[in-house]
Amino acid sequence: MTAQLEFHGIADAREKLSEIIDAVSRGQVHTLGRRKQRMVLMLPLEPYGRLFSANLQSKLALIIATQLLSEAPPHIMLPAIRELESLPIDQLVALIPTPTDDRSWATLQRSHSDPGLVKRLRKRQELCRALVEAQTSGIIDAAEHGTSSIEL
Amino acid sequence: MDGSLFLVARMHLSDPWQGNTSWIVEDDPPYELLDPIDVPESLLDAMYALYAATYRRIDDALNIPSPIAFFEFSRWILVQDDQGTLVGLLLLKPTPAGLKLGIVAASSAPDVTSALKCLLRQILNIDGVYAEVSDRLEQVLDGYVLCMASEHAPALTDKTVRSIGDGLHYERHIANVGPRIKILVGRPAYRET
Repeated sequence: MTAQLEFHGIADAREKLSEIIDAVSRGQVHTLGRRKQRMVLMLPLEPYGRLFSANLQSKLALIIATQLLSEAPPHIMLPAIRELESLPIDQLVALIPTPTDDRSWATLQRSHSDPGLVKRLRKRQELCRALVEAQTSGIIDAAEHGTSSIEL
Repeated sequence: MDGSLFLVARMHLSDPWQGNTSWIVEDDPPYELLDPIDVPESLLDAMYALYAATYRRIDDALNIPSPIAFFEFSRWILVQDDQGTLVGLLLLKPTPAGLKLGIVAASSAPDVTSALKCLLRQILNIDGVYAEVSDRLEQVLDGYVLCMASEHAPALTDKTVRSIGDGLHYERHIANVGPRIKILVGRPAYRET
């Protein structure tokens, strides 16, 4: 996992601290260290502060949401976490392992005590995937540019 | 400004456009906090119909094939007429430099286009609101908003750009479109690095 995380040596981190904080606050995870050895993990407080919470629901909610919506922007991810952390532990545990395909979603839908919740989670995942696709295919960039052609 | 919030503000065409719109960079009313998956389908349909009607006046090929892409932007300003019909929309997204204008759509009625022009000129004079523009929108804003030096474009757009000599405009590659001349306007909260 750490191989995918941005690494900064001390000098680099000192020079770019403001930039690194901006990036982390946007949801990225960075590491700091000495002599190419990763020693410190920098996480955005929201949502990862939940990892250090005494509340098990918060931790489980974070794990489930990040598994299902790993590439979601904060305004899609956070409502999911907030909805999940309000649930009782048994309902959260029943969502693990998180579904990975149509079949496992259907199984979860049948077996979970709150099928409505499962349906909402799936809707969130579909929204997240569609957004990532729109970003990577350039639709968003082109649409933002298109705004400049508007006749007002 | 909390970038993790999904906020929708509904305004009326008859609202006083010269009034204070500094709330646009805050997280409070008239913004309403919504869960993105609870946005009514009927609203999404109305937004997409307005988007499609706006851009088909320009080009048959629509950039956004479905309303899902609207969720890229976490702040929606929806303008309704006296009958409650959606006649204009502005979609913006929080960035490290502030709130960036993303998509604008409007009916062709003169009172609507006039109101949207006024609103755009107004919000782009609020600290922390900016836009990357060109073509017609650049003309609409010319003389009403500040232009940023192109040297700030790489940091503000997070893209590779090529300055073209006047110190303001730059060229960058737009996905699915090609190279285009753009300019940054407004008051981004940029930082020298």
